[in-house]
Formats: sequence, structure tokens, C-alpha cells
Amino acid sequence: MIEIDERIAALTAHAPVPETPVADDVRRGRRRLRARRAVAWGGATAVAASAALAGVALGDRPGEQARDRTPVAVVPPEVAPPPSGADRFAELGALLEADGRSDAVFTLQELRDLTDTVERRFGRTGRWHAVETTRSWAAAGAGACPSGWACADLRVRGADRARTAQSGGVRQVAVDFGGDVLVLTIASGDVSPKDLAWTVRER
Amino acid sequence: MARRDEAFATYVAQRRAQLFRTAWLLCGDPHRAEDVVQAALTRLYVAWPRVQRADSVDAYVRRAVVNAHLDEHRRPWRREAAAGDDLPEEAAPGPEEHDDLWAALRALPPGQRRVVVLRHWWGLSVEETAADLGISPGTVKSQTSAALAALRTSLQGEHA
Repeated sequence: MIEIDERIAALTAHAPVPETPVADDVRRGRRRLRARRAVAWGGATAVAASAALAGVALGDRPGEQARDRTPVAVVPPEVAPPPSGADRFAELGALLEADGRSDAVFTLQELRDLTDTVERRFGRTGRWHAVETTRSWAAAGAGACPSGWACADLRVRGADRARTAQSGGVRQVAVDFGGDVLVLTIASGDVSPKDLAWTVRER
Repeated sequence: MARRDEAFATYVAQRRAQLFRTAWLLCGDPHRAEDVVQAALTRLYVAWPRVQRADSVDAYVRRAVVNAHLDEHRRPWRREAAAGDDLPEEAAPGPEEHDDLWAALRALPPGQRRVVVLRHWWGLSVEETAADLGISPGTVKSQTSAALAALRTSLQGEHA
């Protein structure tokens, strides 16, 4: 319907387009990026420690609605055990701090969802050995399954995709949160890069 | 960060007016349109490296505009100003208020309006529109058909 196209074009010629400086959009973007990084990187260990003591559910994603606003009932630590995953959550935060080589950023909720999924699916065996991050699923190599490894898709809440690979006592979990990719290695003993299914090639 | 800023700023300078016009057609109000564009560009900045590598900046920000409009539409409340806030003056009626197409677009259900804007303003195909809106191509076709029929009826009235 060409007439409609032409009339819409004529209509938009009257649109009151504001003269917003581009620098304002850059500033807003940088502020949002800083806020995400501050929450994901700076708060993980401290918040996990608090959660372990108080049994309070986490769930803040800056600028967006939290998925679980209702906190669980607070109980005295001497009565209730710490919530499952609190220690692992703190470990994950520490491993992320140690990696720190890519621009990938993760929110507390994403890290918590990942921790919960891994705990639920694979239990607490093995040591959370290392984390690598990248802004590219392809760079993580997680689309492939090397010979000798058993790979499977995984469901992690909030993730675009996730996969797991296992060989012997080594398991890796790769998860893509909107283009920010995290590869977690879990192993019973020492692991070298040549023993891994997925190693981040570029950041 | 400097490279991201420069590339992002270049894109915004080239595309911002078109994004605003898209949001304006969707929202029907210049202030809300500006809010929608700001929200979409903020998301784009955060996702910039990934989106630019995938060579899908236009598609990403167009979807962000639509999603921001969806979010605006779903809120049952408007932002409440605190006492003493400087509120913007009500915009004086523009020339579009006298355009029958403007009134006809405003009268469309939001879903049909989005389809019309994407197909007849951005010039997207049925499949591209479906991808942007997260609906099936069949739904795009049926909504396009219903929207154009409604617009035709409204605009024929101006010639009556």
C-alpha cells in the first residue's frame, strides 16, 4: 500500500525531533554500564556472605524488576542451615575477580541462577576450579563438543543458552547471558588447559 | 571504552532522528517517544561490542525501541512527579493533530500500530517484522491486513 507509506513519510516530516546532544546518550550508556559492573563485581562476595548468615533471597538487577522480590523468612543461623549455594556463590565471585580480563559483566541474579542450577544438577562434588569470560559464544568454543567429552544443553534461568561438557572428573559449564559468556570449570584435582573442552580464545 | 564511545556516537548521530520518529509514531507523544529512545540507546550502549560484531545494530536498536514502547504501554501508571518538580509544559498541538492518518494510527490497537510502523515506515518484510516483534509471520500478516483495513476505512471517511 504505497499511499500509506508515502503518507506516513509525510507525517513523520512533522515529527518534533528534539535536539538531544549525542554526548547525553553516551553518558547514559556509560552510567548504566558502570552500574552493572559495580553490582556484579563489587557486591558478590559481600552479599553472599550476608546471605549465608541471614538466609535472605538475593535478586537485584539494577534498572529492572527483580524476579523474586519476596524474601524468604529470616531465621536464626543456629536453627537453619545456610542456603544451598551461598558458599559456591562466593567462590564464583572470587573466581570472576581473578579472571577480570574481558568486558563481560554479569548481574548478581545471573550469578545466583547459575550457581543454583549447577548445585541442583551436579551437586557439590569437585572444586570450582576456574572461570573464564568473554563477549563471544564462539570464542568460548562452547558450540563444539570435543572427542572424549559428553556434552549437553543446560537450562539456566535468564540465560540465552547454556551447555555442559564432562570428561572423567572434569566438568565445564558455559552460559551466555545476553552476549556475556562465562565458562566455569569444575574438577576434583588439578586441571591444565589442554585437559579442557572449552578454553576462551579471545576476550 | 573510547572506541565504543566513538562508534556509538557516530551511529546515534546518524540514526537518532529516525529512531525518534519511529517511537513518535508508536507512542503518539514526543516526551514518551524521547523516553523510549533514551532507554533503547542506553541498552544499545551496554550491548554495543556484541551487537556491532554481529552487524545487527539497526535490528537490535529497533527491537529495543519496540520493547521500550511495550514496557511503557504495560505500565498502569505514569511516572509521578514529586512536589516542586519542574514539569514540562504540555506540548502545543502540532500539525499532525490535523492529519487524519495520525488520528487513524492512534486509533489502532498497539499491536497493529507496531506492525504498520515496522512494515510501512521501516520497510521491513513480514519475516523481519515477525522477528522484531517476537510473533509469527502469520500474525504479522493478519495484523497488517486488519490495520490497513481500519486505516482505509478511516481515511475514506475524509473523502466522504
